[in-house]
Amino acid sequence: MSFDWTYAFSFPALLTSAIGSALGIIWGAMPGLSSNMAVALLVGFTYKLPPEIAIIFLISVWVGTEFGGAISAILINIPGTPSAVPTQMAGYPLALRGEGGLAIGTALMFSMIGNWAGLIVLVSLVPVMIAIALSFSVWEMFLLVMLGVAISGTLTGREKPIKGWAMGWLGLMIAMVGKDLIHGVERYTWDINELRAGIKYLPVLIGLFGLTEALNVLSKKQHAAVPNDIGRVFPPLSLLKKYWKSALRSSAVGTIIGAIPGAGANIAAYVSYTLGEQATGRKFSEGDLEGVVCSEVANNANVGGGLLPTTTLGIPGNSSSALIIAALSLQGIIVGPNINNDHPGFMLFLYATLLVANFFMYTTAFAVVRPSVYLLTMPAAVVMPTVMMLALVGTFAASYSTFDVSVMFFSGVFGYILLRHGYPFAPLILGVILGPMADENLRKTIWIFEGKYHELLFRPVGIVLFVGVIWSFYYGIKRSKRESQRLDLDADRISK
Amino acid sequence: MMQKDLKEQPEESQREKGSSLLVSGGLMLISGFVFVSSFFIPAPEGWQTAPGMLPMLLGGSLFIMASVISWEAIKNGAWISLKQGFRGIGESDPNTPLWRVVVAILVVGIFYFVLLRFLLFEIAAFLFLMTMLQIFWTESKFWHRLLASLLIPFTITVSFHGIFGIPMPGESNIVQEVLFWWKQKGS
Repeated sequence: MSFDWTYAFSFPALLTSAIGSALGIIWGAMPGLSSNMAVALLVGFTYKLPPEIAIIFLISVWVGTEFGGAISAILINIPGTPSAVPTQMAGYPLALRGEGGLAIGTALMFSMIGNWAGLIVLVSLVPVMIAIALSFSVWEMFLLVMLGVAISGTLTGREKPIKGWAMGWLGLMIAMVGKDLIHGVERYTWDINELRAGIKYLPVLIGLFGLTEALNVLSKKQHAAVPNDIGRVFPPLSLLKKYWKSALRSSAVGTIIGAIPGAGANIAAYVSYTLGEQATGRKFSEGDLEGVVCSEVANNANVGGGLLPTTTLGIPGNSSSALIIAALSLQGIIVGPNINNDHPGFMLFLYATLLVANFFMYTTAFAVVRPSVYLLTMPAAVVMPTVMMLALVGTFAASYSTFDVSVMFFSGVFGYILLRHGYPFAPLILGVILGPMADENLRKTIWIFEGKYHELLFRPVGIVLFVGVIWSFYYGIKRSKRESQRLDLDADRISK
Repeated sequence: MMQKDLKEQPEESQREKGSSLLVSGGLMLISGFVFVSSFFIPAPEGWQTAPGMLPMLLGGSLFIMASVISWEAIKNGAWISLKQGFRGIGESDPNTPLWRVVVAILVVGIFYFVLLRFLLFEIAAFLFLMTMLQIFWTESKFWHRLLASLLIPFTITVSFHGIFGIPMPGESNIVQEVLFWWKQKGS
């Protein structure tokens, strides 16, 4: 399938992007509705659309939700998306001072800058990454998968990285169900016909991001008071001059973290926020536009950064990228080092799509911000059951399979249990998607290098990746020990 | 000492600690099963390309990880919390997150697996929404709940099935029946 990048500027594409961006902003603004949830629920619906329109729609929704999360975070102190938590910390005190509109406008302007930064990095590094990826053999590909899962576990498991690794391993194990790719031998199918093709990852993703999050929100009682007046939304351009250093630093943080498999926008926003506080010597939580800048630039730069390993290696940079992989594979597009040969013009089309989506995020936001404030009052008790219905319809639409609906339901329930006990999803998702790749490449490595395993020790890229895997475990264990020592000290101090 | 500390903790957090042991125990069971059964997967061309190799490695290492998590949970008093949690489960407040979620899961399960087998999509979705809103949207008026339960399913079917032609789950749906009837009438 080939792509024409100019299609991204055609009328149907522009209209789709405008609708997608507006929908994304509104979705992101509503408390509890994350960008992952939006993309997860919509993947099934885009199945019947032409590939170009489906891609434009999903990317626009994703870009829109990344900004939309800032609206509820700033105005009602409830982050629309997890990555908007730092925005909430710096922005809500501003809303209390009557500067909510200005904080939202600043978030919008710098979200656009973050998107630009991510796009520039994506455009400049894709050829380099593809060149590197094409030199990988089966051994390096196996190590790359393990590195992705290990890093993702380390970063998302916080004080207990072992929980992150366990989730990654569980994801890889789920991917082992079905016929194996080399011999066609059945594994863990128990003669159930639907399991022979393996557990599809789209129902798992919809379950984890749709049903689990809906259950999580319903379990809490949230009441939000929306301010009567949000003030001026359009930000003064002088802010660009004032905060350019923070924007630059946060762009780098957002894109780099985005490119690390499994490390999502929330980690990028937290790191950028913390670095911003250290650089300025101020506490952003007292209400500070610079805190909003740090958080929003980073979580939007994460979009472009996340697409870098996704498109060049087939390894998702974050959960939303994982969903984009699912959407693309539904359309018959398999991303990876051969993307330029298999789907000529796809990368250019993707850049153009990001450009258009970024433009519409900025322009539609001014029209959508004020009406979306009223949506903040919509009760979660109405929104979440609707999300549960959309999760059902979205799963069914992608495969017409009631078995997939069961997979989605049990993933959602299981996901809620895991969420309650501090198990992160990102490594699980990476594992489910990358499992077949890990399995095939490990077995081919053992077969190809049989009797000459010592040769694996002289492959420089392999050594770097292997050291990376070991370092990731070492760093996680070290951080976990430090964290438990700190908690013990805190407990001692309290008891005294 | 540990038992005394635990008694001072709120019921919900104690149950959480106890159930964390159940989760890691569940992971141990799954990984143990995967590890053992991987040896019974046929290997047509020897051990080098054995389909059970990665499941064996994953199962074994996940079992170790889950054991470590379980051990840490036990050290933090999860075993005692678990016993206390089971004893008090019948007396706990139905407004806790746990009960709210159990109820939601039951209602969703009935909607997905029972109602949709026998009813048209909109009717099943109406019953599901009405029940959910009755339970969770308690501060609203009855007619608000009724209106929302009627409007939302129809909006979803009209926009997804009526406009985009996306198939809906369940036996059939009212929009599809109406469209079919309309086409029949036209021809």
